[in-house]
Formats: sequence, C-alpha cells, structure tokens
Amino acid sequence: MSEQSQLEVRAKDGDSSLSISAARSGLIARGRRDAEVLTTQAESKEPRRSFELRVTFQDGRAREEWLKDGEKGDPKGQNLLACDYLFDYKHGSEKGREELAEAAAKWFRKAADQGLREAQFNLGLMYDVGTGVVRDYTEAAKWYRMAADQSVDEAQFSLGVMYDNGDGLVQDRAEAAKWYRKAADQGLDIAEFNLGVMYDNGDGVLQDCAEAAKWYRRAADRGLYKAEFNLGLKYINGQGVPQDYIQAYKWMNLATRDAGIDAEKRCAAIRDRVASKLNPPQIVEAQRLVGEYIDNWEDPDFQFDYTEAVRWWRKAADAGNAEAQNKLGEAYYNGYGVPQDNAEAAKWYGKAVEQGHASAQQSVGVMYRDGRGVPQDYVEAVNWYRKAAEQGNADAQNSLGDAYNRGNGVPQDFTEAVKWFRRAAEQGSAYAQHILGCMYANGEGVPKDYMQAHMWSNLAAEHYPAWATENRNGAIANRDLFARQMTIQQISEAQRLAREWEAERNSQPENEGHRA
Amino acid sequence: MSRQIARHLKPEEEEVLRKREELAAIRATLAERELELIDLRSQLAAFEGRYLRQVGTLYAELDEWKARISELRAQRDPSSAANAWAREAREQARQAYEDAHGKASETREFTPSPELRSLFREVAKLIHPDFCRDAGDLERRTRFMAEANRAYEAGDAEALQRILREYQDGADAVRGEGIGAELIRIIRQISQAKERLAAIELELASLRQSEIALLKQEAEEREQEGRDLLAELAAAVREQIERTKTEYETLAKQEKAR
Repeated sequence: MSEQSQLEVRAKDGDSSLSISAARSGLIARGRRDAEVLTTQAESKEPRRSFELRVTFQDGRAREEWLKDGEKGDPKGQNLLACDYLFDYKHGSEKGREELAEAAAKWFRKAADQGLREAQFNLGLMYDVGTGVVRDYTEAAKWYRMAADQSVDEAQFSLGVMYDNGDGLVQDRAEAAKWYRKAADQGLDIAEFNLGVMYDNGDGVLQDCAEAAKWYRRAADRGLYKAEFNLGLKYINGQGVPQDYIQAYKWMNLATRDAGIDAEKRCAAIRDRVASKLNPPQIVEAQRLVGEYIDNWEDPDFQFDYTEAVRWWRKAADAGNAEAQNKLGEAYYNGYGVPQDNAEAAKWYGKAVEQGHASAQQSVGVMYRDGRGVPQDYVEAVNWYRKAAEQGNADAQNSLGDAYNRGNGVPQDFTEAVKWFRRAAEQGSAYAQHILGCMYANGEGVPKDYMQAHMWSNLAAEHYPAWATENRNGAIANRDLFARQMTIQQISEAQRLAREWEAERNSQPENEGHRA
Repeated sequence: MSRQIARHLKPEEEEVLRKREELAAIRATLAERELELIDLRSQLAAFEGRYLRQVGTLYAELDEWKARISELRAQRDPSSAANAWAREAREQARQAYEDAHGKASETREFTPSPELRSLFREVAKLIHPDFCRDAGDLERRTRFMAEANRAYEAGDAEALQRILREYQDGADAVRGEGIGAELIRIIRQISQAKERLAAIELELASLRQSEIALLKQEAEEREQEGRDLLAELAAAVREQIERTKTEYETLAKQEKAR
C-alpha cells in the first residue's frame, strides 16, 4: 500500500503519464480473471465427422464375385459396390461425378434396407455430409440409429452428437449421454471423451468430476490429446482426482506430444506453467512417469527438457518471485537445464534469501559449508541454517543439528543438537529420527534411553524413501542392535510409542509450516 | 598514472576528481533508469489504452445490460433490497463506462526511436533535479524535467532539443565555488541521485507487479503461442453480452405482457 501511495504522490508531482489508477483496476482485474479462465478452459467436445466408410470384406472371395452378388441382391456385395462407386467419385475425373455418388447412395440404400449395419452407417454418413443425396440430418439420424442399434460404435457416437446439438432431432442431452456411453463402452475414444465432458459440465447426467476424470483417463490412454489435456486440468485443479502437479505435468506433456499443430502451443503453455510449480526432484519424478508411460506405448524417444522450466523460473525470478529465485538457484546448483554454475546459484539463492526464503537460506548455508560458489565458512553456514531452521525448514534443522554435533561453526553442543534434530524428527524427517535414535542410545544430549532410541530408529526405517536403501538398512540395523539391550516388554512398549507417534502425526498433518 | 604527468594534487583535489567521476557515472546510470521507467510507464499506458478500447468498453456494455435487468427486477419487486441492488448495478455500470471511455483509453502505442531515446538520456543526465545546487535550481530543474518527460512521451524531439538549449542557456553560470564547497555539493548530489535510483527501482518493481503489467505479460505469452488474448477476451465478453441482452429482452417482454 505504501508503494501505491508513493506512486500517487509522484503522479501529483507532474508525472501525468502514470495511468495505473485504482478506479480502473476494477476493469483490469476483471480482464485478468477472465483471461485466466480462458487459458485454463477445458477442451470442448469432439464433433461428428465423416468417418471412414464401413467396408464388408468377409472371406477370401474375389472382389468381382462380391460385385456380381451385389447385382444379384446380396447386401454385402451391394455395400462393396457402393464403396467402389464412391472411390471412383473421390478419385476419378470431374465428368459424371455426381452420378457416381448417386449410384453409391442407391446401392447403400439397397443394402441398408436389407438390414446390413455397415450400409446403414454408410448411408447415414451420406445424408450427414450430403454426398449423392441432399443433406438431410433427419434421414442421417434415422440411418445412424439403425446402425447404432446394431452396435456400430461410430454410428452411436454420431447419433449422440446429433442429440447433443439438436441436429435433425429434438435436442436431448440425456439421450446424447446414453449414446455416447454405448459407444464409449465399446472403447471409442472420442465417445469416451465426450461422455467425460458431459460429466464435467453436468449436461444430460449428474455433474460428477470423478466420473469425468475416469472417462478422460480412458480416452487419454488411447492417446486422444483433448482427453489428456482435460485430465491434466483435473489434476491441476484437483477436481475428481487429488490435486497433483506431477500427474498434471505428465498429462499436459503427453497432450503436447499428441496435439496437432493448432493445439500444441496451448498444451505446451499449460505444461510449462505446471513445470514452473515443480521442484527439480519433482520434475525428475514427472519425467520418470512420462517415460514409463511412453515406454508402455513403446515410444522411448522422449527426453525431459528442463530448459522450459528454467525459462519460467527465470521469468518469475526476474519479476521478484522468491520461490522462483530459489528454484533457479537449485537449477544452477544442480545443472538442471543450465550448465552447472555455483556463482549463478549463489546469485539467485542470494536474491531469494533477501526475501527470507527458508529453503534458499538452507541452500546458502550448504554452499558456505562446502565452499561452493562462496569461500568455505562454517560460521556463515550455521548463520544461514539457523535462519531457515527457525522458519521451520526441516533440512536446515538437520544441518544445524549436524553442526552442533560436530562442532562445525559452533562449539560442540549435544543438547542443542538434540533440540534441532527433535524439531525435524517431529516433522517426519527420517534422517533426524535416525540420528535422534543414535543420540538416545549413546546418551548424548539426552539421558540414555533405549526405548526412545528404538522408537526413533523404527520410525526412521519407516520414513526413509524407497531409494535411500542404505540409510534405511542403517536405521533397521540400529533398531535391532538396540533391541538386543531391551526386554520383550520394553520392545513392545517402544513399538507402541512409535505407533502412537504415527497416529498422532496423521491426525494433524500440517503441524509445522515449512515456509512463511 | 595521471599523477606522474600532472603536478601533485592535493588530497582534497584528488577526492574531488574521484567524486566527479563517480557523479558522472551515477548521472549516466540515473538517466538510463529514468528512461527505463518512462518507457515502461508509457508502454503500460499504451497497452491499457488498447485494453480499455478493445475489452473495457465491452465490460461497460455488459454492465449496462446487467443494470437494466436489475432495474426491471426492481420495478417488478419494489422491495428495498431489489432497489439497493439496482442502484448498485447502475453505479457499477456508470463507473465501468467512465473508466472504459475515460482519458486513459485514448493512449496510443508509443515506440520511441533510438535517437529520441538517446536525446532523452542526454537531457536527463544534464537536468535531473537530483543534481540541483540549491532550492531555486531544484525548482528550475524539476520544471524542465517534467517538460522533458512530456516531450518524450509526445515523441517530440524538437521540444527536447529546445529544452536542452534553454536549460543550458541559464544553467551552470554559478561557478567559482571553493573546493570544499564543491566536494560537499558533489557528495550531496551523489546521495540524492542514489535515493532517486532506489525510488526508481521501487517504482519499476511495483509497476511490473501491477494488474495491467501482469495482463500485458499474459498477452505477450499468448502472442508467443500465436494467439491474441485481447481478441479472445473481447469475444468471451461479447458472448456474455449476448446472453445478458437476451435475458433482458425476455424480461422486458414479460413486463409488457403484464
């Protein structure tokens, strides 16, 4: 607010150009809100289209024989004959084309009248697009319905769209949903997608985001980009699925790959927005998911590109966003999407810590500890850990604990070390629990207590992530070592303590804020 | 190095030389930042003008229809709540109209030529108020600087030239101060310039975070995607207008039928 008033004062000083007034901001804020809605607008339903004709080759008979049969009145032969005429219509010379199309329609009708579902669908298509007959949606709907009743999935879909739009029929969303569902149950991707949209918007069915996500997922698994896109949005907004940027990234990335030229940029833009919300390790995870997914599709030519994420972070970092500055620092520190560069890392972490960013403070501390990008300095390192630790950053609490344990940058002090490890351990840090277990066993900074030692090692073994195999094995070995010093009753009491700790933690998931 | 060729300078003379150099450098920086600020401001103002013409006017139209609907409703249901609602909607429509058609909507695109920009830089370096000597000088510089800002925004190179000449005619006649006085003056000028630099940074930052700047950024990102945000927004609002208009007409018909 003080900046605002400063602006106004300057405006009065004669800077007539300043036009960002409070009054108009109403109009501008409206534009921004609506722009956001436009950007994250879900893809809309698939329209019906001129599908491939349904051809009816059945056995090894020669084409000529079929055609002869057609002339004698066999419906499959008639359908094939019509397809033949239509082929000539499409690829032959200009002269006499209309007659060819009309002949095709005539032969389709003969076969359709005899109940051949392929011909019924084909005739519906002719009426729908107006080839060989005058375009007539009512007729199209009539023939689509006959084919649909005989389980032609694309006919079911087209009939659904006609009910949806009210083309040739009285508009009826419930009926549309019914026909989409029939085609979707047969595995037609566009029908699955349209059904998903129906559930999303609640037209023709009760609105149900979970059901929408389910149908999007089915169509997405068939590589339909619109479904991948809408599913990605579901994950961004946490509708019908848990909010999950990693999953969102995965689906938006797949959508970008599968979208045509027109939609590619739109998908990529959203994907990059999602990327800008992820940390490097999360991006690695998202990359792994995409890679895994595509492997299943036997399409391994995929490589994650950090440069997009870095571009976003840079943009936001330049605009002064602390989180983005921190991420850009991480990118330079680890060489994600940019050449590894300690000086650049230090620069961006530095900007983030100016704004009090806890994770960046911790990173600056680590840089001082290791002398990367800055002169090695334990005392400075501890200063930075402390800032972050006091904001509740568990990594920093661990680093501070380590510093007190080893006497690096501070006088060695086990009591202080225990204090900080305990705070991180209470937040669920497996490392802190591991160390705290050892300290209880050794009686460092706390009275020697094997039950506490057992409990914390037990929790550590539970909380180490799957990839930290060595650490986990270490915690298990410690726990079992402590158990040898304990009675059966003590062990079961220690296990009960661990269970209780776990239960209490689950009952209040956010007990200490990570960031201000 | 200069020390070997020149006579030995007294310490305070050396200090004055150093400070003069520092002042010259800071003048250049300040001029650069002033230019950046004025450019950003005029770009934002131009974008705002475009936005208000293309989209803002449509919001105003939308609000007009909404106001009419609430007034119709208030006629039918003359409760105090309905009346209050209608008054509020009318006020919103009036405000939106005023904002969308106001002076800001007339601001056009501004693309200064490199020559104009470097001319402005010269002017700012010379006459920036933060390099004033005394109160009278401050007043004079402030006046010239404001004129220069206006000339730059109008893209008027001639006016800038004139300002530069006029200023030089009357300026820097006051000379002959002692070395001590000069040192004090320069130090003060440097510190004023630094304060102004900090203020500019603050203003740049808050301009970049303003709603209009964020909207402009959004529009630029869309442009990268080959899309036109303002046109899309306009289309979306037009659709809303159509719907609201239909609603109004239906209501009005019902009213007549009664």
